[in-house]
Amino acid sequence: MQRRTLLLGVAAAALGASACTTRGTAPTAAPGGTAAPTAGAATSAAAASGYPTKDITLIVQAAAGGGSDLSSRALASAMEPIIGKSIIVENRPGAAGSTAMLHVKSQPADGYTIGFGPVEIAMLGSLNYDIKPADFDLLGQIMLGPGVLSVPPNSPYNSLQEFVDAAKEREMTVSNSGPGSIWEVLGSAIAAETDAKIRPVPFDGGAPAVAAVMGGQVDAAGSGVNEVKQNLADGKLKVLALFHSERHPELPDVPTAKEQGLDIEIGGWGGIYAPKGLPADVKATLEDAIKQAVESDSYRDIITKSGNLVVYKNSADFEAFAQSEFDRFAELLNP
Amino acid sequence: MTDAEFSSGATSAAAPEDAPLDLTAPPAPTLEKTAAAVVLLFGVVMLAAGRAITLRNETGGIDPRWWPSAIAVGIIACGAWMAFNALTRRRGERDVDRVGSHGWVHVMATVAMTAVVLVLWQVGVSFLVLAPAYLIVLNWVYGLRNWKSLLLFPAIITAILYLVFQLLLKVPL
Amino acid sequence: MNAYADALASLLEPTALLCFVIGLGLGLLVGVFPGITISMAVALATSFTLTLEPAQGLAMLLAIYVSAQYGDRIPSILVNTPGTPAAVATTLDGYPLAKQGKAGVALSVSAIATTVGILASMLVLVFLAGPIAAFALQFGPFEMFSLVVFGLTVIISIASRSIAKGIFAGLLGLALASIGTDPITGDARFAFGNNELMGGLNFIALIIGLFGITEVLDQVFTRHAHKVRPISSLGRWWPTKRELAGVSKPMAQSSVIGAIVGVVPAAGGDIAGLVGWNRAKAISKEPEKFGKGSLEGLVGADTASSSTLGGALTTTLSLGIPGDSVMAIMLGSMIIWGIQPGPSLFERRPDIVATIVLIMVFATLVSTIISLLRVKTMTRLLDLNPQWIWGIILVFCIVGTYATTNNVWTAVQMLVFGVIGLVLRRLGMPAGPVVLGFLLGPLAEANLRRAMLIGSPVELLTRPISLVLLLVAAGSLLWPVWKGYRDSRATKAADGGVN
Repeated sequence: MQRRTLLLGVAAAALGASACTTRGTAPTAAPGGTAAPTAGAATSAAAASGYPTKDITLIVQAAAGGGSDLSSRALASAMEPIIGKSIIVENRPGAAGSTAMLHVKSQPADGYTIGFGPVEIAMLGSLNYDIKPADFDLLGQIMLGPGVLSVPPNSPYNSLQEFVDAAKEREMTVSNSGPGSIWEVLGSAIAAETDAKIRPVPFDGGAPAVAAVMGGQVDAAGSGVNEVKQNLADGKLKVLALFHSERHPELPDVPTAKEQGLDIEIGGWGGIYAPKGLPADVKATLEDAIKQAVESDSYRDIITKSGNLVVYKNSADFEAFAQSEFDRFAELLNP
Repeated sequence: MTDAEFSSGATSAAAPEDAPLDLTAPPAPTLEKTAAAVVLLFGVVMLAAGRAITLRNETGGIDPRWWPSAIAVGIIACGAWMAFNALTRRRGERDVDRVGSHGWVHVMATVAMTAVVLVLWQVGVSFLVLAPAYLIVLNWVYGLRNWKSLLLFPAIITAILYLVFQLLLKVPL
Repeated sequence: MNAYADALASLLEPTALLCFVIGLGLGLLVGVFPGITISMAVALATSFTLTLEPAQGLAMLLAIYVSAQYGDRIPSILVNTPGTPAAVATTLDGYPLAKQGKAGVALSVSAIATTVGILASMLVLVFLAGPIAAFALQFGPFEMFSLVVFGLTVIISIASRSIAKGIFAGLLGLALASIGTDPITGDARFAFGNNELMGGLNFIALIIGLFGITEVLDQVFTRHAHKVRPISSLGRWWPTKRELAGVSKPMAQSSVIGAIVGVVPAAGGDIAGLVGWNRAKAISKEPEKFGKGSLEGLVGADTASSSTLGGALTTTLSLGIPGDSVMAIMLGSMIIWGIQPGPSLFERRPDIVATIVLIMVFATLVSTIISLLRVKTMTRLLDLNPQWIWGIILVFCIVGTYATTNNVWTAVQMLVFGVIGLVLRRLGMPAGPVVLGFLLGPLAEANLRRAMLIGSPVELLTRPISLVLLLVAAGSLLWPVWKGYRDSRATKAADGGVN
């Protein structure tokens, strides 16, 4: 197994699954509780052109079993009855997800190869990779895992404001899931917004980063909700703020950054993308199928249980959002 | 690494079976010297390449260049040590076997065949087609000419590949 | 104890039993194929275990986890190709034993060693989970770095004939691992603008190449028409009483080593196996036999790598830090089942812990029996003519390596490592240190630089765990030097100073 530092995107954010690269593909068997069989009863989504006439491959940039993989499989199994064909999930892990993205980019734009695109799709372009959202047709956002900032249980800081004020005096070490990860950006965003001095300490995955704050080795940790949920309940750490527009159902007592006067939203989002230049009818068919799948109970169930939020944006909104994120990350990653 | 001693005694292997028991390769002082030189060169190249790594933010101190440079210095030191050993010790015993009569040809053919298979696979030929062809050619090169080796064996292996990998483990071959 | 009774009842229900049997079969199968790692089978199983009850799903995942520990030793011993990374150290003595015609004994002893390791590690999980969780949290970057330094000292003892060449092999492993993105800043190193290289080299491709492919190429290279077959098959298959008594010491020692290494996040069966082998050599009366077919070495490696299982489960359950890639997948499934890992899991859900322990123990016992029964069948594979064996190894290594990423590039790496491995072997450079360097290099660098970010280098010596580990490392380096010096003086004295 490769214990290489990967840019852990949603994988770490959603499940705390480590950077241990695992491999393999699995059948499209439904991970959801209500596994719907591939029905012959394709709905109106199957458009006039006859698309799709064969199975669709959904490329996942992470190993099987992680957060990205589970989200993708949940969506795939929810999409199958809608689109009327099998959706084969294929894992192509490696090189911070860029291997999978470049693979999709190289495929014909016929709608038979699509990919799960984590937030890295808007980050890698600022990290020496030849990838940007505009390279693809983005079909819709399907989920969001907002970030949190936590501190050791015995930390003197009890609010984001106290932490930021202290960080103006003394440089704070803040652990994150890896170099160039969205949780490293979380620290940079706080530093850019206030005058706080933050020294990022990248770890190999989200869970080790949070363990470092529980062990008192760093002053704070940026992570996803799932890594801190149980530890917060057990009193092993304190969560200072959630970086989302509203409170998280799993952490109802944690105030948002905005409530504390700091308007920062950072999260590991995910959506579906395809090679640039899909025919309009194919794009419409896929966009519609994704929307319906995201609304399905089986999909919502898996996403919610893994500590994420079901957030949908249609193709146009998602493209605009990804582009704005790309611009924002370019500044935060290359100060 | 085309030093004659790399094959270490191809000549004696071609000799009649008067000494069939000891197949250990003979000492190869020139090979040892060449190896030390290659290790030294590798260390120097790595050190140069390590210093040339481009950084997004220059921080100085223990930066991304530091670790590769440290390794490269270690490799140079090892190369020097190996060179010292190669120059001062007359005979180094080796615990590898002598090269077989067709050793060079067979090993080159195996590597080349494997490379060809991987290239064809990359351009889109199914491995289930490539595997039997690969096995047939390999067995032919190794000198097997019977129908079991050229037909039955490749067929059985391909069937196992299909059943275990394609069907059971869902690996797209 | 009530928790165990309830857990037992939930496992004896037909669906759970069926899941258990499927998992066992899948694990025994995948372990045998080089390159097909356990995590692949587990990932495959996950896609349907999520629809099951936790007890059923765990039965399948853990049965795979355990039974694959047995399968992966087989190709290591028979054809010098580790089935999974955890079996790398098995090759060091297992394959030489097979070459001496002791494949049967080697397979049996390996199975027994694995069983002892797993069962010992279950004791750790049941009785020491709480303290271990606390201990693991103390393991920060400083402690990790010192542990890795200790691990790197193992290189010296694997370097059999020439220390210079052994150290070079270790440095080569470190150099190969430095390709890719920097662990702290994310800058590209030695990638030359190539996207595939940005992700670094693949570990599976490295071990399959350096062991499996190199072995085939070397056999092809050195085959003589009149040479006796390198491995005569089965031989004796049950160890003698004396052999069993001889391995009891390394077995006990390696159980402890594996348990400790398993607890440390980011260190798994691969590292434990090599450390266990090294420590067994250090306490052995016949260290010169290590690497040339020592049963003690085989046991030292296999017991240590299998006894990491308990520690890996403990850190996964109590800290949510997966000890290895299989645990990462299990963690994902557990969260979907609504089982949140955390220090309190052991009080909150004693039923889950009991279920896990029972499955692990059952799977171990059944796998042991199956492994011992199949020793004869497996060794019979060696009666195939060598050209066929080469073909089988080549094809399955190619497919197995490819399957780790579904990318032909990974198989290309494997071929390149195979050729490099052949060159290294002809030059008398061992492959073990390359693997160790590759595994430990990134850990050493990342943790040292992390440590520099959060403190000063002095803390390496002021933190107690770190200091102890560094002292142990220094000791294990200096001890053989001193011993060698003493021995050579004794020899010189005996020879009258002629040499």
